[in-house]
Formats: sequence, C-alpha cells, structure tokens
Amino acid sequence: MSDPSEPQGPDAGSDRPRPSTILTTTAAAFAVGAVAMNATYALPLVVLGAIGVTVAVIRRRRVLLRFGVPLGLLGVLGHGALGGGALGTVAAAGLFLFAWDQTDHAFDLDAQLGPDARVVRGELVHAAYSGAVVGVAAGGAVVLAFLGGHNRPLPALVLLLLGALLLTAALRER
Amino acid sequence: MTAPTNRWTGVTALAFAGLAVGAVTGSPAALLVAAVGVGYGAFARATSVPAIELAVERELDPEDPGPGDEVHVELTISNAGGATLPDLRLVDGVPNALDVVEGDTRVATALRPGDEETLEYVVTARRGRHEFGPLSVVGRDAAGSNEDTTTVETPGALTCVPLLPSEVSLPLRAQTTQQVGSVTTDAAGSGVEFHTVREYQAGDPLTRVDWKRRARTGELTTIDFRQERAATVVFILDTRAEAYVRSGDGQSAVDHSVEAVGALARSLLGEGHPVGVGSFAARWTWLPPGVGRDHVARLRDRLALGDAFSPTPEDEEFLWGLSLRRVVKHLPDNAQVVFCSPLVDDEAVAAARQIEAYGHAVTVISPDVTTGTEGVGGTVARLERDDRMRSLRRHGIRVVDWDVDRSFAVAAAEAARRWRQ
Repeated sequence: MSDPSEPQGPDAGSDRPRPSTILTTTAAAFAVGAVAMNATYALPLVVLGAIGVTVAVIRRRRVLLRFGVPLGLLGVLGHGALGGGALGTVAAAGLFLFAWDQTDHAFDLDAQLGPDARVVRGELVHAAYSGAVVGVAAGGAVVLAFLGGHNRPLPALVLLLLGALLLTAALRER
Repeated sequence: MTAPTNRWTGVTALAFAGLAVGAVTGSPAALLVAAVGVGYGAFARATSVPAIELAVERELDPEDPGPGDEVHVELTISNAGGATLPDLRLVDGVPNALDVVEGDTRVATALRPGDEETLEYVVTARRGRHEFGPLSVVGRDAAGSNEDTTTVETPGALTCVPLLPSEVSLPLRAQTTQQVGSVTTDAAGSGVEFHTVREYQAGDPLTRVDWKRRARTGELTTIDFRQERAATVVFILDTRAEAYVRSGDGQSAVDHSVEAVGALARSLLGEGHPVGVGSFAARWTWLPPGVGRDHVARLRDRLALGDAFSPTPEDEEFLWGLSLRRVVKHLPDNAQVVFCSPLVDDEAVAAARQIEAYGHAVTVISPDVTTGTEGVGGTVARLERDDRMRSLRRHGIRVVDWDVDRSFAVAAAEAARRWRQ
C-alpha cells in the first residue's frame, strides 16, 4: 500500500482551503460575535480560544486545538456566569463544539488518509450531521430556557441535566 | 473490528462544568451550556457503526503495459448494505513498486445504500507482476465515536514484461564446453586465430597444411589455430535486500543488474552459448542454462517475473552459506558465472570469490549506485566499494565497474578494452 504521507493526485499541494478549515474559522468567528454582542469580562478568553482553534485548523496543530477549545468554552461559561445573554452563551458554546468536531475530524482524516487525500465529501457530510446535532442541542436548550426554565427552580434544572448526563452515560454502557 | 474512538470524552466534562458553574453561580446560561454538552454527548453515545458491506470492482487499462507506460486504474466502490455509511475512509492497496502519478488512491466519503464512489488514478508500470492489495476501509458512525476497521479483497494484477534490451557483448573467460562456439581457447585445433605450427600427422585436414613452408623447405607441417568453443554462462544476480540500493534515477541496483543481464544474455544466446540465470538471495529463482528461441522467451519471463528479481526487496531471512550452496549446487560443472552485484558489502565479494574457488570462472558486473551520493556516508560507501573491486581483481576476478549514469554498453566496451591490454 502506498505511503499516505506522500503527496499525490491532482490536488496534491493545493492551497485550496478544506471545508473543515472554512467551517471551523467561521464557527470560531461567530462564537466570538455571539459573546461580543453582550460583552462581559470573559470576552478575551473567548477570543483567545477562537484564535487557538483558528490557528490549529490552519496550521494543522492538534495541540493548539486541545488548548483553544477548552479556553474558549471556559470563556463561554464565564460569560454565562457573569450575566451574558443565554442565547449568546448557548450559541457560542454550540459553535465551539462544532468547530472542535470539524477540526478533530479533519485531523483524524489526515492521520488515516494523509493530508492530500480527497476528503471534501466526507468533511461536508460530517459537518451536516454535526450542524444538525448542534442545532437541535442548542435549540433544545434555548427552548428549555425560554419556555419552561423561567418558572422552575434552579435545583430542578440542575437535577434534570444531571439525570440527562447519567442517561447518556448509561447509553454508553449499553 | 469495532473500537471506541473516545473523541467525545471532553463533552461530558463540559456538561459537568456547566452544571457546576450553573449550580454555584445560579446562572441559567451556564446550565444551558451544560444542556448543549448533554445533547452532543447523547448523540455521540446513541450512534453506532452500521454494518459495512461494500462491493468493489477494479479495472486496469492496459493490464499488460510496457515499462514506463501509464496505467489507468479505476476502483468502483458501492454500498451493498441496507444502511447509510456516514463516514467512510478508503485506501486502495497500490503495490509498493508502482508510483502514483495522477489521481486519488485515498478518499473520505459517505455512501447511502446503493451509492457509488470511484477512485481513479494513474500509475507508472515497472518490470514485474504487481498484485493490488485489498481496499482498506475505516467506517465511523455519524458522531465518530466508534470506528470499524476492515478490508475488502479487490483482486487485480498488473504484469509488465519488458523486451530484452539491445545486445551488449562482453569477452567471456576461457572456461568452455566441448561444443563449438565463439570463445577463443588455449586449446589447439581448428579456428581462426593462429596458435602453433606442428609436424604433419596423418589425418590432418589438407586445408590446415602449411603449403608455403612445404614449398620453401620441403617440410610438411600443420597449422593449429586456437579452438573456439561455446561457454555455458550462468548469470547470478545479487538480489538480497542490501542490493536494492537506489541510484539517482530511482532504479535499484537489482533493476540495473536485470538490464545488464538481459543485454548480455541476448548477445550470448545469439552466439549460441547456453545461458542460465539464478539469484543469490533468500528468494530463489533459477533458470537452467539453455539455448534457442523458447529459452530466450523463458529468460525474458524469468527476469521480469522471477520472485527473486522483484522490484521490491525481500523480507525473508537471508543465510549466506545456504544461499551460496544452493547456487553452487545448481551450477553445471563447466559453467562460468557472471555475478551481478552493487558490491555494497563484503558478503557479495565473499560469494564471488567462493564461486570462483569452486572452479567456476567469475566475472563481476557491478552497477555503481554510489555515484552522486553526497556527504561522508556517500564518500565512505564509494571508497569501500572501490576497495571491494580491488580485492576481487587481486584474486583474478574480472570486474565491470558500471557507472549507471552511462549506458551498460559503454561500461562493457571499456572493460573489454582494459582486459585486452
């Protein structure tokens, strides 16, 4: 079998950005925008996280992704805790998760197929799945917040989410 | 084999962090972040890799190219199962010896039931038979939380049998058979080159009587010429893994040796000398000496497709003594040997000397793949090779030092000129 690390094919060495690069940088930018609309002191952390993710996907550095996403999500949580808007917080969190999913998926493709393999269709299909999930998860959270969340005591919400977490853990063990 | 990728472990941590921040600060927004994490986590854990059922077809065009020809390979992969495969990574098993010059051999895709994906690429044909390996498949679920690795057999082989190169002749050593041929020997008899004059003996052919001397002195004498006989020549190619050192043009020393053997064998067979071929390596290829048109075809096939002459090095364990005994056991008693080796180590030198010691006149053809190598390593390799050639010559073994940047015909002509001096 040929060596996957060797450039090959008509696109070998092509400078055209991959879908994962475009989607990740866009998601990181929108995450910053979502937080900046109602800026708090957590904004610099979110910006740093977004820069980390962007550089990671462009320079193909997994280590930057490992620092960038947690930093960004920490900023998003801080933004929520400091009174940032719920909508912006949820959107930013979803966008960071989406950016991480795209980049990590792209890195795995690079590792298994080499950097010059034909991956556009694979990346776009994965982005579609990931986008649908983030849409449903963030949408569900927002619906939870605006339809029922206001009238329920906080401990009830915490317990609800804890229960959901345990359920997902149980799904893993099935 | 399905295995978890564990790529979603962090999302659980996010959910717990959101819960903790929300519980401590009373921030509903932080709790909603936890909800997003829970949603992603549930998705990651609820999905599983569908059964991967692929139908694969391979087409090669042409299937029997000449060396250097471009071969178009088309691999059509279709989802023969009933489930959508959301994340497929496919890598075709391109033979190691073939260079891909255009197209894709690896793809990431998704296939609905009945959908097809095509891998199209072009490879440059090289001498030998090249079996394509199976298609390697990695399938993941939509979230990428589980991974299934498998292979799909996709039979296909490309066979490239080059024509024998143009004839190149090289003076043979004196070891011959009893058959009449073109090698001049020290034995007196009929031939072309003058040997001695002796007293006439009854039965000598009248054409060899020295009539001028008879007229001048009255003495009846017979002229003897050097007898010309055929030689049985066996080419032994050093095809150990060590001999697969490559020259600047990407060809290995074994490729160069095969080329030289083809050119010499064609010339020798044309002159009626029986020619055979064998390998000095763990992999064994042997063609006993023979003559005739069928033998030429067999030799051509053996040089192109013989296991031991493969364009890729062997990975079997090489045992010097065993390999040498096998070579010597197969050599006919009166055969002389042309040993082709890049002389990258002392084992090749020892083998040539040992064959000579067994009574077979040895000529070494050594493709020089150290030309152009840079640095201290390259210089040392060149000096060591020079030393090995000197050692062989000291022991009476002829050596053709072939700089592979030039044609073999030039190297052979230079060697012949040197040997005549």
